[in-house]
Amino acid sequence: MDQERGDLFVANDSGDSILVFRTTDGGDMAPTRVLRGPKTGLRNPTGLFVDSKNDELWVSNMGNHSATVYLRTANGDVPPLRTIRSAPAGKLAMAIGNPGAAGYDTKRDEILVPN
Amino acid sequence: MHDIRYDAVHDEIVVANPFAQAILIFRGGASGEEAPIRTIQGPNTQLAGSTRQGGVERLEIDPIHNEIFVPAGDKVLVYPLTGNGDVPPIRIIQGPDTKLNRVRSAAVDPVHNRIALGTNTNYEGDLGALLVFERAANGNARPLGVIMGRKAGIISITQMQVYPPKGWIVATMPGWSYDETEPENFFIGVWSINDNGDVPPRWKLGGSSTSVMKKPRGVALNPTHKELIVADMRLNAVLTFYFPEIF
Repeated sequence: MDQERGDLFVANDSGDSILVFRTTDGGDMAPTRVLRGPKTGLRNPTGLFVDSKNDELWVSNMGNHSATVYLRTANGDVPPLRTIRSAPAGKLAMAIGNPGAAGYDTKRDEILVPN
Repeated sequence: MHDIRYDAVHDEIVVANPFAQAILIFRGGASGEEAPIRTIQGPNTQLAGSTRQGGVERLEIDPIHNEIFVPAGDKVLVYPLTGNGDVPPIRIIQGPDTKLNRVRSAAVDPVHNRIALGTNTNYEGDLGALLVFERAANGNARPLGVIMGRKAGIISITQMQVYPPKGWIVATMPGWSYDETEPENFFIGVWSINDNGDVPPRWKLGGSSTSVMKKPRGVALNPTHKELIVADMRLNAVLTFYFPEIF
């Protein structure tokens, strides 16, 4: 939450997006800004931080081993200002998070993991 | 999604969705943003409020007899595997004679015609239990076997599997505290479907500080490769163990 400007940032994991609402919003409100699209590098964002000092938005992406940085006011399909990676670009993560069960598909020889 | 089963007979995937208070059935091999082919959901299902998560948290399927079992607190709800929509349970195992309390996991053995149910702690003094019933048990039925005690070491069972040809129950126990990230006393135990009383596990994986596992919560069996597949909540990982002894 950016209390100074009254913005509420939401890491939308399954939507590969960052949604920004007003802190005064309530009910079925549309976000004032949406950061989403192939240029953003967002993939299963699960955490974020608003750096008020440098006017930047940090996002941790569970789906592609990266942290991406944007202007705090970024909107739409914009590329990150910087990217920190712990794997080659484009490499998708296994995205296993808090697994509570497992299944085995005998027909396809596949392991099923609900998250 | 807190539980998953693959139905090899009908080539379907069955999933428990506690927040939607629903059982979702997908086609085998489903991928991407694909709709379920069937959904069991609605007031007649009695799934709402059945667990601390608000609805169905875990389940088990019996593809031979076409049934879905949902452990839910002090009862077990049974649905037709082919059910769709606001379907009422076809059986409910519930009552004082059942000894069901905080039942959280289930595994069916269609060969020995049994169902194993795992209860959580606070059952007769901070001990969990494995209760074994007739597969078709209904109402206030008595368990055929109660595996419980210090030797058994059962605290809380999350996911279980049965290997029907040999009647082994494989149960994951994530340890004393559900909320601790690296709890003590976690292990995977194997019992016989015919065990009764304070019986120690026939085999035990984990349970020590040197174990690779930290908080096992899920288990699946791969009989073809004689492997035991473990989902570890703390590690965010799936571990596969070669375990020919039980197959």
